[in-house]
Amino acid sequence: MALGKIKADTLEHSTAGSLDTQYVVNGSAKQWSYVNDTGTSAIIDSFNTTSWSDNGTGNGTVNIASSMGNATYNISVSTNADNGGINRTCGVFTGTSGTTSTAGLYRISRWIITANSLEDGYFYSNTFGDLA
Amino acid sequence: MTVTPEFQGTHLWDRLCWAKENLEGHQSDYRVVYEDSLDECAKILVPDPNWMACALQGGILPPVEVYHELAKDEASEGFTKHTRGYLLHETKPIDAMTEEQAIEYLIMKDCPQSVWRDYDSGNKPKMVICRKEQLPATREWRNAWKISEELTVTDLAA
Repeated sequence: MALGKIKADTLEHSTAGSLDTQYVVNGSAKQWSYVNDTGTSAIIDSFNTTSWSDNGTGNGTVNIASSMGNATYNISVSTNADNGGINRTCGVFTGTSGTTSTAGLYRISRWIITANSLEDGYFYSNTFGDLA
Repeated sequence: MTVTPEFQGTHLWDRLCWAKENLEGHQSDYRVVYEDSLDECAKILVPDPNWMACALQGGILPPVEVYHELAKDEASEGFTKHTRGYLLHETKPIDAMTEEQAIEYLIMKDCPQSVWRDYDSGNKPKMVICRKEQLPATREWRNAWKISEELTVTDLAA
């Protein structure tokens, strides 16, 4: 790669101690996306994402470009609330088998708590874990 | 024009970091409508703007076949972790694509093979590439959306 490169196993502060760079690598988000799933769906911004699949009301799939090492990575999802600021939530959609995520994709959904039904909205998601 | 560094051998994630820093995202107007289950509504694939910028730039993305190899590994019995991730990073990156070629790549990466392998051989198409303005303007009855039965393969070729 024709770019500057710093190789280091440890970062050391003059007074506050040192940190193994593995903590930095392992602790960085590997993928994130900001999706508007209202109207005609669109990815507003992202990193390490190839596409969003709009699977129907309030649920979709995030497809990853640089795959994770396996399907046991961590996914965090948040969403916009309704106008009152409450009553909406979201999560990783696993279906009845609980095995929807793969190293290259994960499915997320958003719903109205009191109505127990899916609803379109905005998705903010990111992943942590090991890359392939 | 931004010149892509020689990326073969560089981790794909690092290449994407470079792209995020150096390339302007490209919002595609193309959408892929597909059906992969009789029991579910039509799904709509939306290209990522930063990924599309990589595709148009060239020299960043691996050939799509690499993803198929990794999918085979993951589907194999006893899979615990990818051991051939190097395929993503060490295979020669592909050249710049047109937006249409990038959509074809995306279909082969992110749609199930059962959809695109023989998309035009059934009673009706299982997949349609369209522009976003051709989709319904509102999401009313979204869970009932299906590809029109009246749409023929001949229409698709026209």
